[in-house]
Amino acid sequence: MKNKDYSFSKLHAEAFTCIQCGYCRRVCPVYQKIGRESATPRNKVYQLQNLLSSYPPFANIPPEFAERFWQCTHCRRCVDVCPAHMDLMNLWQGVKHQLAKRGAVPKQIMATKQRIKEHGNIFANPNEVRSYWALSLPGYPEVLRPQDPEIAVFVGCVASFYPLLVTIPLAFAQIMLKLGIKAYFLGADEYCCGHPLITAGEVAVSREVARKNLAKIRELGLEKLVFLCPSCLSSWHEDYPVYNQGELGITLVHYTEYLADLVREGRLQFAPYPHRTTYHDPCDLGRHLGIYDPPRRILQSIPELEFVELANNRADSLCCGGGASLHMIDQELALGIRHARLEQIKASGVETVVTACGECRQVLTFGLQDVKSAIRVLDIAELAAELVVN
Amino acid sequence: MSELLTKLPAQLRELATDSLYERLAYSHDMSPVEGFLTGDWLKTVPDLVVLPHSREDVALLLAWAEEERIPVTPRGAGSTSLFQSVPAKGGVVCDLSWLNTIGPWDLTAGTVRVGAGTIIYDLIQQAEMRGWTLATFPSSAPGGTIGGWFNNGGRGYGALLHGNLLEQVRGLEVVLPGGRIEWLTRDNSELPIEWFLGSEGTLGIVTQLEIELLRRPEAQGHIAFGFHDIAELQDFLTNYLWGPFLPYNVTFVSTTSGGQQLQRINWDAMLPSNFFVASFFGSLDHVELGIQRMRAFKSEYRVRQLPNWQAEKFWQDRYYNFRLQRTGPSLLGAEVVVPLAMISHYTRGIEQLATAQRKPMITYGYLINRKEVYVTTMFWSDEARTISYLLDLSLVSALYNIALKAEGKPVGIGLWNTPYLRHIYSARERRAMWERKQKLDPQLILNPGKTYRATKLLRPSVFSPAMLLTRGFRKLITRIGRARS
Ligand code: SF4
Ligand code: SF4
Repeated sequence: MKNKDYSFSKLHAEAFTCIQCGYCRRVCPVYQKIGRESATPRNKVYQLQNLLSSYPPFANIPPEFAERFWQCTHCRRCVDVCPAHMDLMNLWQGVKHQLAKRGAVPKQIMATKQRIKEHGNIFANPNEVRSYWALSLPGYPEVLRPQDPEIAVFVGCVASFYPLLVTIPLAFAQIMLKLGIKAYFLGADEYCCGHPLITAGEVAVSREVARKNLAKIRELGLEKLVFLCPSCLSSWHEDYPVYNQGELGITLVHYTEYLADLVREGRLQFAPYPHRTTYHDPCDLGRHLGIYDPPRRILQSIPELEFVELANNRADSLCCGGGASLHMIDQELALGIRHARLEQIKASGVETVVTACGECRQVLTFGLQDVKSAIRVLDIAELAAELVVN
Repeated sequence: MSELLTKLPAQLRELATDSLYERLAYSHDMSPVEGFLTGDWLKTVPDLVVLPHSREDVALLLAWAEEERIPVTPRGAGSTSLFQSVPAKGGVVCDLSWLNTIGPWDLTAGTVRVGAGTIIYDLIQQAEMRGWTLATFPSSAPGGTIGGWFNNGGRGYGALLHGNLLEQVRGLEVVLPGGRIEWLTRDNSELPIEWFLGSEGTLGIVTQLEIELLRRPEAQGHIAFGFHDIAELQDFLTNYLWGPFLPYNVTFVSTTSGGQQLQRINWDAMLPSNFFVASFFGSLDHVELGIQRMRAFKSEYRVRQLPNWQAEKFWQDRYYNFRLQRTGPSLLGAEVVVPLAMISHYTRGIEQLATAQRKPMITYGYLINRKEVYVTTMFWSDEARTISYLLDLSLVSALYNIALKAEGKPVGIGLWNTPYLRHIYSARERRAMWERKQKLDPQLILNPGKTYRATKLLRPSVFSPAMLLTRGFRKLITRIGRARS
């Protein structure tokens, strides 16, 4: 399934690896919420086997089949528990690719594709206003494009445009300015990373934006790219090399890795934060990229912060329901999925929950507001900016 | 809405579905059985699926089903492979997944009440958070439900030291055909809990169990030995087990083509063809002395102790036997219980079969008591290549025959093992089982068409010669292939 081969023969080979053991049932948040066997990853594979065994394959797609395949947060929990080591992420993408080819694609995904194609971002905003989040920064816009930068920063669509989340890049920029680190923000030169289309098995447009992004980075001669969004990083890390047909030759890091290094070097220090605090592992950062320790190292370096783990943490973390554009496709389901995580956060008795993903930050903020909880929700960048003492 | 759904009591209607797409999900289990094999003589697609949320829902369903004479097939996770939870005659599948409450806990007595649809792994996690654990659990714990496991005999890791699940069950809530709800305890002589163990959902629907837990052991240790000859492995274990310091679990592996197969499943290719891993749980003393005693035994045998990390890794992978499949495409095999004293006999039979049929096979098993081993033998096939797959299916019956010759017997009956009924149970046992069935379910509502007698095509008089013929044909084809090459 590597190289985005979504052909029937590849799908067939993978699908028939499934032994129907049901290990994936236990962890899939979509099944947990819907509660019907048809929503289990196992049943999706079984129904896929049936479609692939018919001739011609995918000729008669039951409407429920398409519906179930689009109901997925891309949380990767099924992959981690699968004893047959199935490449389920690629399988889900491959099926969506085949569904999209046959028009069985939610209109919201089609609309997103159109927006990315026309505007270079998921919100249909003019791409030139990508760095308006920094309007309040002294020295804007020059301050975002220093000479001889140490790092380049890829903000991502969500934190660039979504009002609740623009505080994330702002916070990161403030930390960089305070530490005197020259960080180059791509701004209008940044396009959507293609992640919403990659998870939807849409190869053509995502390849197009990947090429644009790569060309820009190369043109600017930037060698180290720091990502504020784990989904963008995951696309660059897992998918761009496929589109590029080889390694990118650029160092890609998540900002929590970058900040954790600064902490280790003693360049980044914090004022005390005497509050019981927990961390929600985003699916894209944790299970997809394996980044679990850097966020914890940052939090544990904050004086007086009482760190507690949630009942499900690290690779076993629960999905917040915000992945793979599920909130656009089936908002009720996405809202339902977040419930279990909100309960765990409340049960942990914390005053603050931090995360390292804009999407999760947004889901948790609204979720805790909805249940009238006073727990504070922050991105690690926001907390770090608030406490940085250098 | 189907006619049957409209007939269902109103309270159950919103818990039910007649969508074909949903029903198809219940028409199979883990066994990769080709559709045409179940074609006309079985009705594996249920007419309705009901997902009860309480014992009262189950009771209402069974009362209605008896009145309407509609078959009901209870289902946990559907992770067995003999069609135990797949309907043979349509009707209703009662999916117990949502009877999954864990608690209340009585941590003084060390017991917990748990819904039958609870995934075993979830129960283990919850118990461990409280300083307890399950005394025994199956290798399929992350997939299987506690109720499903009980209904299929409750054998698992740890049975060697603690007995099977029955030993841990303090109480059982069961809904009988007709809808009567009963709470059974160990001293119930009219309706013994034992009747329901391994009854494959044919006597009543188990909705809740009270389980006695085990304190989380203070220490654990693992030790592994490789043997050139399986007879020595058998002898070593037999002698060891009659002394003190019983291990919590002993798993053995035997392959017909050595490292090559082990490598296919990501195990170290340098492992010997026959090895066992013993796991000691308990007090520090128990673990240390057990391992010491086992090491001391070593000198009497031609045996190689394997590195500790390998023994530990083996235990860490206890839920992942199925990774064999990765090298698939399909896996076929047989689960049997064989006397420990006959294990070498059994594995030699497997070797002969593997050589004759040119089919590498891998056997692994764990001890369920001092005398018996729960054994699984597997081989690779390809269900997409129908003819060769069908020919390969005949090898499954050959595996059973080898087990029977080694005084073993198949595990579970469901549908596909009905030809072996008389080997699994004696005539007296079969009569007793049938009497219970008639007493509790005279209208044969629960899980009909399985467990008690074989349907026409699976009667031994038809089935055995057919399998023999197919196997002969397969051997012939293999020989021709060999001659050509
Ligand atoms: S865990 Fe993997 S092998 Fe098991 S049912 Fe799910 S997809 Fe299939
Ligand atoms: S990726 Fe997550 S939501 Fe999607 S099928 Fe797997 S477990 Fe379910």
